[in-house]
Order: sequence, then C-alpha cells, then structure tokens
Amino acid sequence: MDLEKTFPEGSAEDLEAPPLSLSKMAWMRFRRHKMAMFGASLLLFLLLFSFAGALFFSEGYANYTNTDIRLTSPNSAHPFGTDPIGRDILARTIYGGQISVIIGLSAAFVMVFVGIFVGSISGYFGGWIDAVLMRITEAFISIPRIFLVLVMAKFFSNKVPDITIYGSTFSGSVVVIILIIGLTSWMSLARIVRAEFLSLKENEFVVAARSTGTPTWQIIFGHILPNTIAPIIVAATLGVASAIIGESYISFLGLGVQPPTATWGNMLDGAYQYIQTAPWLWIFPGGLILLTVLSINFVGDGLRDALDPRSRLI
Amino acid sequence: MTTNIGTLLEVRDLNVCFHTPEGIVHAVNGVSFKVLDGETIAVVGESGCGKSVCMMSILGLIPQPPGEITGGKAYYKGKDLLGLSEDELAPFRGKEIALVFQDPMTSLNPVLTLERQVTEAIIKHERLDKNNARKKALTYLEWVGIPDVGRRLSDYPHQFSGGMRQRVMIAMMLALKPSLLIADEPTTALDVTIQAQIIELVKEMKKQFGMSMIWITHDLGVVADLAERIIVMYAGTIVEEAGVDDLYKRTKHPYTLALLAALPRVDHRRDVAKLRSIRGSPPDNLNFPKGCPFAPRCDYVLDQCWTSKPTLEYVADGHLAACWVNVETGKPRL
Repeated sequence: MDLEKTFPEGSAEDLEAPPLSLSKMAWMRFRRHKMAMFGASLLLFLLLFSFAGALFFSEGYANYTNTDIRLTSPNSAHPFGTDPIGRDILARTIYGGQISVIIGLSAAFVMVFVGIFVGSISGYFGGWIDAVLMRITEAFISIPRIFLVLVMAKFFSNKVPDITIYGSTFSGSVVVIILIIGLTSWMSLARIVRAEFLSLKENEFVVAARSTGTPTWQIIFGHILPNTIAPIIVAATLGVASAIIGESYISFLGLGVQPPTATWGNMLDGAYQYIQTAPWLWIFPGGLILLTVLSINFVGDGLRDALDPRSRLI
Repeated sequence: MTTNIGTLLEVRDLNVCFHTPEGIVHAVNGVSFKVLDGETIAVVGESGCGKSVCMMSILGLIPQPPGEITGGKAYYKGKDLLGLSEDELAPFRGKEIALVFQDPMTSLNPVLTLERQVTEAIIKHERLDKNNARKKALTYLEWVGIPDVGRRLSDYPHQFSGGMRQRVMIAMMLALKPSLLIADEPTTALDVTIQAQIIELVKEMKKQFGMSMIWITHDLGVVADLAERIIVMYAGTIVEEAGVDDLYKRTKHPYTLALLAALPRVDHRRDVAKLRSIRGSPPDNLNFPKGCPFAPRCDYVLDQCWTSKPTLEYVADGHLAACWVNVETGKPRL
C-alpha cells in the first residue's frame, strides 16, 4: 500500500485558506460592485486628467490672457476653446480640477476631523457635555447652510494671504473656502459618530479596556473609534463630493476662489452670459463637476455596501 | 487605618446603589470581606444578587451615574480604592487587580488584532517597547495553550473560538502579573468541556503564579475544588461565608442549602429525583421587605424573620451566617 502518494503534501492546516482581514474582505466585496468599480475607474481617470495634465500645460499658460483669440470655439490649438479673455479652457480645467479636488479632500478632512471629535466626545461622555455639544450641532444645522457659507465667504475673503506650496501659488481664498465648507458640513457626521459611540461604549470590551488601566482618550480613539470606521469612510467619501459642489456654487456666485486661480466653479462664473453663444465655457467645467461628483458617489455607495458589517457576502 | 499583615484586599461595609427612573436600586448593601495573600475565594449567588457590581465598584468600573457608591471602604494593600479618581485608579487596574469577564465573545474588541489588544496593556504597565511586549505576549499566549501563536497574533477575535478567546483574556491578564485576579463568571458562556479546560488552566495558573483570586459564579459545583473560602450572596448582602468543607458539609444558611439542593448530580437517577429549584424569585431591589430578604422563599422561616433582618455573625469557628434559624434543628438560634 502506498497511500501517502494519493494525498497532497503538507498538513491540513497548510491547505486551509489564510484568514481574511476586514479590509481584505471589504476590498473583495467592493470589487464585485460594478457601479463602484466604474466610479473608481472614472475617478482615477479624472485625477489623472487634472494632475498628469499639468505636465503638458504650465500654470502660467492656464492664466495667460490673449484677447485676440477671445471666445474661440474648440479647435485643434484650443481643444476646449477659449474664454472671454482668451485663456485656454483645457489648461484651466486641468488646473481648476486640481484646486477642486484639493478643496474637496481638504474640506472633507476638516469635516471628518470636527465630526469625529464632536461626535465621539459627545457620545462617550454623555451627560452635560453631550447636551452642550449636541445643542451646538443643532444650532449649526438650523442655520441655512448657504447663508452661513456666503456670509463667512464674504467676511473672510481677502483676509488670508496667498500661499506658495511646492512652487505653485494658491489664492488665500482656497484656504478660506476649505475651512468654510469643512466647518459647515460636519454636523451629520458628528451625529452618526455619536450614535455609534452611544451603542459601542456599552460593550464589554470597553469595560475590559478600562479594567486594564487604558487611558480614556485611548479608549475613545484607539478602541471605540476603529469600530465606527465604516460609516466614517462612507461619509468622508460623500463629503468630498459635496465639498466640490459647495466650492462650485460659492465660486459661481463670485465669493469663492478668486481669479486668476482657476476652479471648476469660478469658471462657470460668467459663463452664464454665454450659455447659448459659447456653450464650451460651461460644458467642460460643468461636465467635469458632474462626472467627478457622480463617480465619487458611486464609490461611496460601493464602500457603504463593502464595509457593511451585516453583509456576509464575500 | 491599617489592615492585618497578609490581607490583600479588605472590603468594609460596601454600599452601592443605582439611580433608575423607577427609583433607587440597592445593589450592594453593607458587604464586608477579606482576601488574604494567595487565597482563592468564590462569590456565589443568583443573577442580580450584586456579586459583579460589588467587584466592579472596587475598581471603579460601574457606570457613575447611574451607579453610586454610597458608602464603605476597599483597602487594597492598605490603600482605600473607593476614594480614588479614574486617573489614580489606572495603575491598579490590570497591574494590581485584573478582571476576566464573563463573555469572551464580547470582551475582546472585534476590530483590533490580537497582538494590538494583548500588548497594549503590557506596553503601558511594563514600559516595554513593541518588540519586547510582543515576546512577552507570545510567552503567555503559549502558556495558556493557544496553538501556533506566532502566526495567529495578527488574527482578529472572530477567528477564535469562545474557549480560545477566554484563554486570550486570561493570558492578557496574566502577562501583567496582577496580585489579585477577579474572574467574573469566566466559564458561564462556555460549554461544559471547555469550562473544565479553563478551570484546569486556572488551577495550574494559581499553582505557578500564586496570585489571590476572587471567582464570581452562580454555580456552586464549579468552585468546589477551586476555592478555599466561599461567600454566598443574596439580595446584595452576604448571607454565609465559610471554608469550602464547612460550607458544603455544615451549611448554616437556608439559602445555601437551597442552592446546593438545586445542583444537578451525576448520581441522581432521573426517575427518582427531579431537579430542584428555589421557589419564588429574588426580591425586588427597589423596595426590600422589612425583615430577612430571603424569608418569602425560605423553608425554615420563623415569625421574627418577617420583622427584623439578621446580621452576619459567627455561628461556628470561621463560619459566618446571617440567619435567625439553626438549620439543623429548625429552631431559633440563641
């Protein structure tokens, strides 16, 4: 009898599939989500467009005015046409995209930071701390966001000097817009985080952590917060999209990022005079906003499903 | 105030209550006991009799509010723990007094790896760097019998079975070398064979590390060969306290007798003896009856039981009981 040869080499444990970590499981689920994968690819393409495109056009070129060629329709020299003062729209959408994406990410970061801070403190400690923080949150919610944003934009514009990072100059208004959008959008995230904390803090693992002398801040941010990461990632992703839209409408109203720094939003400002006569003025930046926000929302949807702990699909 | 030499923990007249919308729930009412160096005591009682709350309050782990420690002292190595703030208690938690919880399925954080959870407290209390803490964690995880530890350190709790998780919890606490280990029904959530394994592990641990231990349980059978002294609690008070042999063989309190009678026995034939239960249910902690809280369920109840509450007194050498009745004769004790 030569049984040994009929079995594969190695013990049973070697044949066992390696256990999947939570992030690997989420990634597998995300990959199966067709819309999310489509959104992610589109988003990647748009990021490439904005950041790799900068290798082909200088920022100086994007801001270069030449009134001789004002309002030319798309042609081989200017594939997206030119604007009322003769700037190349393709170059401006590329640089505008960078600013819009930077604003979107930074504003979402501000939002997540404030939201997590308020929500976790409020939910963990409860009592009067919770009462005070939640009343503040409600106050922010009850002020119509657009008024708050416009008043803040008007008030703070031109109060922040221009800043230079890695050789490119950003209008100080970019920072103002980031803060304004971030500081007016954290409320719903704070409520989500608070609700998560309210239920998670009752878990035995929190008492177990306390019983080994873990400091409170570490229990909040090291033990409970990692359990709420799924809704936070989803909210942050969708926050990027809404920050890009927010930037667009503030800039469209002329209170946002100031020219010559281009953003998709301030490119739309002024385009409305030429809606019929020069549609390329709004089609390209408007279309890019639409595609970016759409793709981010698809990704957000995919993440929501992938990170849902109740979903046991792999 | 100082305590006797050899006394590790002395709790005096501990009172804990909870403020609820229905009123004040008196969870622990005047509990006093001692734990000597290297001694194992068991605290036995029905659900809701205050045994967990009592131990948790010593470490300041009951939620306050709604909980409130309304009185008492808990001297640990001569220092009263009840007056300490959260920060002052931190060095005692884990390092001096460690807790093992009832349900290993919920007492580990589901989203953190084993390594992170086991090393965290070691890093904090022993002031070790990550690598040394990892080595130490490995030693203890191996000691409690986790197979293939090196590879499993990066696993998450859901990849372990209940028994394994309880071993992990025990390893976590052992690594801190506490002087007192409080085990809050550590085997209740496990099935019987795993329960036996964990008890063996704990016995081995006591032999090797020699710490004191408080074992909270509602099962008198579990602690018979584990503890040296047993405290029986009912409705937030201690009703009987004695060495293991005395408690099982010379029981002095009707409640303990009833608990013992309720134990299933291997040598009972099913057709002869039905599993006995204690009639009635524990008193409502919101408003205790005037007399002995056990009176409505007691087989030996006397007239005076309804009007005045018995205090915990010595009824034999090293044997305390709170009862008006001499259970051997059924007559009032003099």
